[in-house]
Amino acid sequence: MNGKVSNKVLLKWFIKEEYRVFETLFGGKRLLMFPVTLFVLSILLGASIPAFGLSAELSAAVMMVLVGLFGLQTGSIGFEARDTLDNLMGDSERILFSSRTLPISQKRLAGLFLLKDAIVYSTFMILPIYIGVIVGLAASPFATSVTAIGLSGFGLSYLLVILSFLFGVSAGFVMTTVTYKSLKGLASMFVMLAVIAPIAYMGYSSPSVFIDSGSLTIGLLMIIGTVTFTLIGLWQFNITNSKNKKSSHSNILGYLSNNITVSARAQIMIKTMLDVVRSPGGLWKIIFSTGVISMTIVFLVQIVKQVMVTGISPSFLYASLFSLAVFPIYTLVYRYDSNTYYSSYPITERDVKFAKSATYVVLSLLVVGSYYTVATVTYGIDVFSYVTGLFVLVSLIVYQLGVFLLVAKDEPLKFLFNGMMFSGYSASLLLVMIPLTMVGLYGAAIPAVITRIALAVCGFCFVAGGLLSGFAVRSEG
Amino acid sequence: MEFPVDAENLSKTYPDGTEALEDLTLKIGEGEFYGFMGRNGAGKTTLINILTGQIKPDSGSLTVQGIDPVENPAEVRSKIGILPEKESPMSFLTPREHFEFVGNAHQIDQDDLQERIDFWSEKLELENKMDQKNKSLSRGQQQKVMFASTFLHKPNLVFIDEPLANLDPPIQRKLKDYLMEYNDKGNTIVLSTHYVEASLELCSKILIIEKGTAIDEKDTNNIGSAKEIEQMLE
Repeated sequence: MNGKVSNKVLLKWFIKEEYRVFETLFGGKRLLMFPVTLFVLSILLGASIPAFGLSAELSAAVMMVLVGLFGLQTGSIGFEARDTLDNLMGDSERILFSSRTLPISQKRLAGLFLLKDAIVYSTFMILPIYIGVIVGLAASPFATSVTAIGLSGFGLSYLLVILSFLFGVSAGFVMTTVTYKSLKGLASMFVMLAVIAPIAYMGYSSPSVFIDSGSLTIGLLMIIGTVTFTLIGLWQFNITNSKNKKSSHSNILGYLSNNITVSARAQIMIKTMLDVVRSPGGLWKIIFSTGVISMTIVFLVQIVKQVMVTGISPSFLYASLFSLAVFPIYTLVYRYDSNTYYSSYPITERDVKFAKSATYVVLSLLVVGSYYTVATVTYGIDVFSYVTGLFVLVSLIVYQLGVFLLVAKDEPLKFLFNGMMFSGYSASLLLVMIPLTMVGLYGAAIPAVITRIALAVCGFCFVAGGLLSGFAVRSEG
Repeated sequence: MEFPVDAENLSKTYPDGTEALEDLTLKIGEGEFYGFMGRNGAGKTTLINILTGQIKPDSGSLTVQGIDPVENPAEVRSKIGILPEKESPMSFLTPREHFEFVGNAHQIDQDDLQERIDFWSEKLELENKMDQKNKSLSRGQQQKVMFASTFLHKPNLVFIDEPLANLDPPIQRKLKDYLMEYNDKGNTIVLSTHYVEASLELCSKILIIEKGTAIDEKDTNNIGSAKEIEQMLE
């Protein structure tokens, strides 16, 4: 009974647990369909790339950024979001948190957890996506000379895709473990910036770096970044069991709820805001999660701007893409309770839905609206364009609320794992996102009448979203 | 003489300003069945969490089985058993897998482990639940799995926080008998509970804790009735 349990044995248990989590989410045989579905969708994506006239360099850069973003989410969710998992599947205990009662150190479990993520996601997600895109490119009916370059480019960049994912995972891990208030947290932040800066600069100044001779340099930088982030994360890693954590907040929201008599709906809004503020990560997790999406969008728009000869329409492009950042906010307002939580109180389900929806709209406008404002003002657009874009953004926030309420209801994470519901959500979103993004991408080349039609579509979205939301809020059960 | 649990002047204040422990000193001798008694929020769970290396005290010194849990939490946990008040078994593993995982963590020989798993599944009437996910078990069944995990590696010292919660009376009786038998073999048991009758029935000594401070240590043989303790807690 002496000695330590081996890393191999622990890794086996982590992988087994991960399999069970996915099995629970997808259910039995459907789990096996997951990589197959990703593969098929990636073939379609690969086949359609030449149709958009995107260069191989730009395609590779976009893919790297998206895979890195996926890694970032993967890396942060296991550590930051015990609440997320509880919301998704009820109260849950994971091996990652077992060090409290067993003779295994927290840091060792955290390191192995990251390794498990790297193995599982690289094999069952990244690989089918990568091969799918390659097959799609090869079989594309829109094949041009770009395809040939793309094929060889993607072949060379396979390793970079994996590295980009691992870099994202380690960045997600470090961002959820570092406490910025301490001196060592600040020191960590400087090291992190020093690691990110050259990678971001290389990627931004020359997107072709991902598939040309510079790929070796950026690959090496990503390896250094991954190792550095992992080491800093493990150094500062300290699991706080959110279930036992005591709140240290006394804030204006608490004051309001204690001192002002308000309606049930306002009380639920205040309670929802308190839940968000008092949960691990507080308000920062909204700013962080939407910020990551927003920064990625800004990065992509900067790359796109360089290759679109016709000139883009930044207000349309930013507004439509930034609206995608509202999903984490919707998940957050339902993360800590559901509609039925209030059934033992004299509060109707309609009140709960209304209050949650209002909280979502307020938070979305404040957070995403701020990012939109910063991005467009920095870009240097005129007031008219800014207001036009703001109208597009507000319309899409309201439209998505209607779709969320109808499709996702009070289980915004669970619906992601329901094929039918997720397809419905995606189709509703793509229906308006594709034309609006096209208007944004082709900017000046789009005739004025088309732009007006796009604005009319936004008006329709606003009304439709409002009607859908009203209908969903009124319906019981 | 070395005490399995030896703590001096332990203090702990949470970030919100709650003083959970204040200058608490404690010595638990080998083979004792020692109880922590106190009202809700008295500091019992905080004390157990500190003694088992789950959280760090702000000040004070302590050794558990001769090891400092602040410096070497994993090493301490290899020599003790812990049954936390709020912990559940791994949600996505089955009870059998949970036991195997815990057995692996404690480096129990494979044949021994299977024997012990069979023993506990029979004792706690879990035979037909062994291959279901822990998530799908009732709260009481999950508590049984946690109880068995605590004793799986046969530690000489165990810390158990409200071990009988959510269990039906026949199982409670069975587990009380097991605890007394385990203690009779010379093992040390530290029990935290606010059930007066259970602690009087099981413990040889109890420590009354109030607002994070040790109020009194009593030999249970010198306590006339549960009412006496209840009055002290008021």
